[in-house]
Amino acid sequence: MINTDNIKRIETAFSRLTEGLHSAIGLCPEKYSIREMRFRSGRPAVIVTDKGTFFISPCGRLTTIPSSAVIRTNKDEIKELFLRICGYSVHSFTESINRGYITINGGHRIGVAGTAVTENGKIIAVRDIECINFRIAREIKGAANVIFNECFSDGIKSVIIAGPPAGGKTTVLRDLARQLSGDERGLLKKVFICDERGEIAASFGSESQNDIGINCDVATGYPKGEGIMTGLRAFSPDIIICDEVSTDDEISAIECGVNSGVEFILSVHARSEEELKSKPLLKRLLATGAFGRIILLSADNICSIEKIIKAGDISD
Amino acid sequence: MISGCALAGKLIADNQKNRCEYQRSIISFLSAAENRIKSTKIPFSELIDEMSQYEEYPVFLKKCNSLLRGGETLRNAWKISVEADENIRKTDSEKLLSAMGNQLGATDAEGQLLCIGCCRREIERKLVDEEEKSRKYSGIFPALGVLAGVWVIILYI
Repeated sequence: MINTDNIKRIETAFSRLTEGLHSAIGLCPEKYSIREMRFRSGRPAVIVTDKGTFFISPCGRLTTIPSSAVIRTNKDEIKELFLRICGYSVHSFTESINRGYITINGGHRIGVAGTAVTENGKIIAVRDIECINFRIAREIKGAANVIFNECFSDGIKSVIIAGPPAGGKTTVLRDLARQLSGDERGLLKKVFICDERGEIAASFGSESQNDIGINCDVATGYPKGEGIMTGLRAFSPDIIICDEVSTDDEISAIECGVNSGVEFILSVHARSEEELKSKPLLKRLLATGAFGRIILLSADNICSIEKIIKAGDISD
Repeated sequence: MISGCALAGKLIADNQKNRCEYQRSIISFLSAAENRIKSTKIPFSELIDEMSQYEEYPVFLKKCNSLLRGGETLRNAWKISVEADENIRKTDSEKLLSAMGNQLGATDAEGQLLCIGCCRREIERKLVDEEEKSRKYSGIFPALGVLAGVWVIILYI
């Protein structure tokens, strides 16, 4: 059963849709189980729910057949949808658009792609937006209970959460932040979140919309490496939480933090143990000696543990 | 009769002065918007919400803000509120602001700054002419009012 907070959060995402799409989604009985909504210029709208991938009719009926009766978005609708997502303020999201996504109120990440305008190999603008993908964020309190009990029962130690896309890594990180910095378990640890994409805390108007605990500071929009250094310099955290670590700069900042005695809870993309073993980045992380365990999340059940891997097994 | 006509003349002169004051408030808003966009890239919904709280900025911002909160698109909210503002109705400022509204939020920060800056400079240029007019009217209209009053009395006698 979906709770009221999540309903409000999902409605926030729906409110960005154009009138036609909003009314169709509004009539859909499975609207609160939608995980993704994909819109492409001149093609049918695709809705991904817990049960699979569907197309949607104007009266909100989900179907697996892309007949002429399903909703198709044309070029103008995509343009209008893009402007609505940006809150009619493209200038506020330029860098984010160039990186390929916009995070909106509620922590929903919306992927946008079109024609890139480049200069010296760097994207300086994106024009003719053609594809838009809404990823609906959810807050699941207690999602990290099992992980918490497995990893932190004998003290707080650095850990890596690995998992496939949409496997619940961000949800787990958010819940860990809440439990570690909150008074639920009486820990009240000083937690610092580097929330580059604004998905963990979903800060809006200088206020976090997700429950991330009492004793938690958030750096939203900072590149992760710089965010970690800001946390180390100014917030003396016990734990730094960081989503989707992927670059050398980020690893360097983490090494710096480990040397300062800070514990880290990180997430990385990986579908399997084999994929983890093939990542040089992970080996560099493990070489710091701070990470004793890697939690691999299941691809089938969101936020559930597939396997707990010892660092030594990967290093070998 | 004479003082009545003088008062009417003064009202016309004051009206001109108020129009200048109002244009100054528009310029002041546009400058503040440029600064805020340049420094923080603030979205328009937040910018208008913030600026509509201040009395020194144009009144159409309040209407625009309430329309935005009601779910209206920025372009429509801006157009409706500018057109409904009696202080600038059928003036060049109305045309300039309406034209600016078509570009709001559709480009990057540089584009927004160019668009707002262009509108501000044009209104500033108009203001110089209006102030010149206002200076002339402040002396001429009350005097014309007195003359008109004297003329009416002479006719009456």
